[in-house]
Amino acid sequence: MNNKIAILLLALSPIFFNSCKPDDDKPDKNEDCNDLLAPGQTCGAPKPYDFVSPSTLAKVATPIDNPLTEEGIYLGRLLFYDPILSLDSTQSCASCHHQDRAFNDPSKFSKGISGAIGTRNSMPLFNLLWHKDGFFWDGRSITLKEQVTEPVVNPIEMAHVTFCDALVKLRNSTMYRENFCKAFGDDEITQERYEKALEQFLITLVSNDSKFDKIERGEAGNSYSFEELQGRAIFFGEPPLGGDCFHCHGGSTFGTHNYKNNGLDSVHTDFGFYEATGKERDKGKFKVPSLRNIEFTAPYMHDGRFETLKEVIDFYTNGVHPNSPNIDPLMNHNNTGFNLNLTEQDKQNLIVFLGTLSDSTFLTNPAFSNPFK
Amino acid sequence: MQLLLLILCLINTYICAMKIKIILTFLTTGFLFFGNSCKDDESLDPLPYKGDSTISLVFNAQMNGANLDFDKTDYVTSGGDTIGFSKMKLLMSNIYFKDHKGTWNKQEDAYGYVDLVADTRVVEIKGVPFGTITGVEFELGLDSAVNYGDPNDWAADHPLNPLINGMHWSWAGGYQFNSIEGNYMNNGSPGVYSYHVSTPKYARTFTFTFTDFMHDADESINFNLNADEYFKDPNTLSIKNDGDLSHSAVIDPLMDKFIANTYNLFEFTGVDE
Repeated sequence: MNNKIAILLLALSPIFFNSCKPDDDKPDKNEDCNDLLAPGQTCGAPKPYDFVSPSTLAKVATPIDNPLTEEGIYLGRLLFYDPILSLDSTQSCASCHHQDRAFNDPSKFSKGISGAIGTRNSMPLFNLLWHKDGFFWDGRSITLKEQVTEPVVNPIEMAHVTFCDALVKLRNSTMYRENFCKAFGDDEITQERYEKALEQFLITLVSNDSKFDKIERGEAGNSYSFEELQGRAIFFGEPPLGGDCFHCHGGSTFGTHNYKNNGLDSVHTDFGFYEATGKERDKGKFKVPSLRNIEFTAPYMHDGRFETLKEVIDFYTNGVHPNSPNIDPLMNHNNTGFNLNLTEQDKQNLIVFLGTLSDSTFLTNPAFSNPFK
Repeated sequence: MQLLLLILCLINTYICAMKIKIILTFLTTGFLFFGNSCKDDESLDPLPYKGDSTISLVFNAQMNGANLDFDKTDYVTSGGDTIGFSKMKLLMSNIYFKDHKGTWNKQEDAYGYVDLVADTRVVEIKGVPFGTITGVEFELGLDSAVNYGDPNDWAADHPLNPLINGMHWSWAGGYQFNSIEGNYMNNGSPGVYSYHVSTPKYARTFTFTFTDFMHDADESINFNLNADEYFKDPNTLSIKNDGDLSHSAVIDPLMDKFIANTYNLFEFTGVDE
């Protein structure tokens, strides 16, 4: 009997000592990505691109790990406008980021390739190097490189199952092999290089030629109208006469780009920044956007609930929810509490001033336009 | 050093082997000539070797005697308020170190930015010449020309770059120097407060002297920022009763009260050599 038990145990032992992992026999979907193609061609060094901080914006530094080059920027521009990055090759980054809207989406929520609708309004893309505190409304991407990968594999956006699938498509393209070669010295196509190329292109989307900028630079022929001056005083002034806008939307970027709760809701259904940090104190906070080009980037707020700037200003005048959990202290104003003391004329003047932050040249700059057209 | 010399001398006395005696004699002579720094203060500075390195001012936020937890929302202040902090920032300039002669030496172009919520607690002053340090002074404030100058002039990583400190009030208003914000209970309902110290009128200088240390490497001078002091002394400040907002208006009794309380805000806690 003992011998039989021993034999039985011996026969059954492979079940308990099998060192194979569950997916050993299944093809690794990332094998194509991990197995880097040996470069088929090499190219000369790319040409450096001299990025200069504009005088009307705070000084910034380009990423040390991704020096800008003309070829890298062009490659990024190709990738931005190419629907090859979506599963069915119908949708590109530009599908939800329209240049003529300062790279915003005029739809309240963008639609992915499957027809799925997002839950937040697409953010405009400009002056991204001036964002120090992450990307997306909820700050979930720390860097621009992280941000450019996510939509490609987001099932409600461009919907590739893995990023590797997108890379395979790029590798099968002679055009991309050539352009990756020009940008990086050889035609290896990797996720890192994709991220770098897109980051380079996005960094060049600089908007600093509004009327406001021209006046700040002292350019002849530019001056504020009376209404614009009135609006400017409201923007940069505190209540009771001012709108206190500058506290959150001040500085050269006209937005702090950090995360605040402006009292939109008394009960949060979208927790925003909390989803990135996990901290209770961040529930209901969203990225403070720039007001540059605000004239072109409707609808407004993280969920696109306001169609017009007038609705936005009406909200700040007497629509803020003071009891919104984690409301920002700066929503509590000098003398007026959580309201503002703005007349209808004040509101109109403020809107007129905000128009001076519009940079129409940015909307048509050919350097940012679709290279396939 | 004197003890070491004594030991060497004693050993030399009792050692008979000539070779060893010679070696010990050289060692003793060498220490006497090059290494004896235990004389009076006159020979402490300058050091026999020149150089410079970094001194860091390190700030630790405290509330009611314990490390401040920025997730906590129910601290009780001397003014009787129940509060939490969501912002605690400082901007400093005019940083001086006092040497053994009692001279206050300004550290040129030295500025500091502290954000205690974000755990940015260290102000590095680079290139501080070696020597004895007996005190430190810094101002929460800026010279007018700097305060009202073009903030876009500062380098990308400079403490005064508005993207770094987030404390610039656009072109007209200059910078905030000392800024706290947070929540409090307002008669049973949640409220918020913000106190922004700014304008030359409210700039303040903080001076500390201490037992000297020899600055000959990277060191740090440590401070507690005792946040309860904002509400305590000499004025018991109640957010509920005195006001939950001050942004340093031209006539601002609340800010007068608040700024008076900051005289005891910082506590020197030691030097890490």
